[in-house]
Amino acid sequence: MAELSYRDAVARGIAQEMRRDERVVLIGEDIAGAGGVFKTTVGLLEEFGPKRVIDTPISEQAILGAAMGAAMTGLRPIAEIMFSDFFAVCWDIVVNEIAKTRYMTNGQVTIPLVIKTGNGGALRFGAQHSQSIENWAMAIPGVKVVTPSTPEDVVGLMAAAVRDEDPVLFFEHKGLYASKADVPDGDIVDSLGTARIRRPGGDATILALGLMVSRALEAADQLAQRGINAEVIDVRSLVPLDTRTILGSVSRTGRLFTVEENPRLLGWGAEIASIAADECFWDLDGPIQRITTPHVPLPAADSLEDLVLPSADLVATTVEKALQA
Amino acid sequence: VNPSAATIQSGQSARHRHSPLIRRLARELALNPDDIPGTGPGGRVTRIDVTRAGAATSVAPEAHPVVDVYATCVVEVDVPLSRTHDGVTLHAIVVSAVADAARVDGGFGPQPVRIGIGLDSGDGMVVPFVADAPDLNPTGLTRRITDLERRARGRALTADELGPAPVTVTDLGGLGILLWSARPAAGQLASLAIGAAVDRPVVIRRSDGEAAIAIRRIAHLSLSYDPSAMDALKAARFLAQVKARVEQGES
Repeated sequence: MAELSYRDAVARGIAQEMRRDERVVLIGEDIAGAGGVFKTTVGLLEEFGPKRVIDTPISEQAILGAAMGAAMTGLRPIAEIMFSDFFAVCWDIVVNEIAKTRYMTNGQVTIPLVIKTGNGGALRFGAQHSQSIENWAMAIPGVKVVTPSTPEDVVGLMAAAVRDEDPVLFFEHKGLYASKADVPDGDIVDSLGTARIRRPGGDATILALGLMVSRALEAADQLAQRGINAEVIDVRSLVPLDTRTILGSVSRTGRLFTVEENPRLLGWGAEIASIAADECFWDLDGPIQRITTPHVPLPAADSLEDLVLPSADLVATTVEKALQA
Repeated sequence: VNPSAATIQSGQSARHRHSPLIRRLARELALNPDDIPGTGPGGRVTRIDVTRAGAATSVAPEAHPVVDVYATCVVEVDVPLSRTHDGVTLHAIVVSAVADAARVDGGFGPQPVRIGIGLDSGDGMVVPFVADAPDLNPTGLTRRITDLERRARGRALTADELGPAPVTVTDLGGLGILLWSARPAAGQLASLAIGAAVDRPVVIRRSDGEAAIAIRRIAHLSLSYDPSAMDALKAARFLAQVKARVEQGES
């Protein structure tokens, strides 16, 4: 057990899989010599060499095209899209090619490909480099979507993603890269499609993802001081979705809140709210409430970005008000 | 129309709507959620409110506990009341045991209670009571009960002796009834029924530890009770206390 930063955990997870399986290769902009623009791939070029850790020109389409071809022909690539905002320039290959090939070849060709990307805000990067786009990704049938919130989960979910036969979009939260936590020694292999109860409680279920998990936990601490015992669930995986854990909690508490960094319309919480309304309606003791960024492009100004992203205070106030209504 | 008044009205009606959870829980307990007092914000019915209301209406099983008692001391079983060789009736022994048991934990409290004595008046049953049963031993109680029965047959009981008693003890063993139950009358806590003391083969443990079949005189006691006054557990504990007292000195 040793303390590890979230950014170092990314490199550790990739290295763990590259040591185990020589078919695993890494491809992206500045991931080799520079060790990644967010320093998430430091040391990999040195350990595995330029044939397995490959720098590319600035072309997201080229990166994913090459990665898809490599996956089709027997490798298990990890491709990096530096900022998740840049998925916007390569959706054709993600949505129409990577996500659909297994279906359109009747299962003859699988795409065991991980696309890792820096996602999310709170770093003053402005409207084009701060977006949370997991909800765009989960709208595509044929890809899996994970968002780890702790260093340990980064390692274990990266391993699970690499070992999966389907394309996995792996959302690292840029605001968490500097965060640190203890990580067990040795190989870590997690499971896709599993949520984690980070804090048990009986009065309300709070779902959160990525950076919002720590804010939900802080809100739960505040609520505990006011006599409200909130359960905080780290959703971790949007596709597949761990409805057993999520709906089980909602059935126990009777109240559901989501804390979403994405803009409000069609955020991931909207889908879960819909599922909960379908499957847990008779367990609900009040309206489902979503706490999201408003439907605006993210502002660059510090004060404005802080204002629009859900804060721990906002989560605590919203939950308290709802439970007392 | 004052718009703020309209807002307040709609807000109030919303607070008294029941959530799906409350509606489901109430339905499962066959309760009307509108009838459940709400302790939540703005009088809203909470999960705990429904659980509490459900517990209040839940019904524990009613029971008619029955025990065997050794009645070896009973030597005469062919007269209306079974008697020991001293002439003490099983009826008096049980009344004495009930009077004792009623005053201990699991009974009916420290104050002596009147014990109704179910008797054959020759023209139907009458139930005079004994108020001082704890002060009398079985011999004294036998004398009292015999006197009550004699006067019952002679229609000489006074109104004072026929008042209500919370517990009644009745022996129908003389009629050959082995096992029966005596439903308590309205306002009564419990009613104890004594069956005939008859010889039965029983397995006993001899002093050398070996099991053996022996002949023992056995009577059934059964207790019926008002379920609003006590539950099956309390009734069973009470009957066990009575059994232990009846069997003192028996083997």
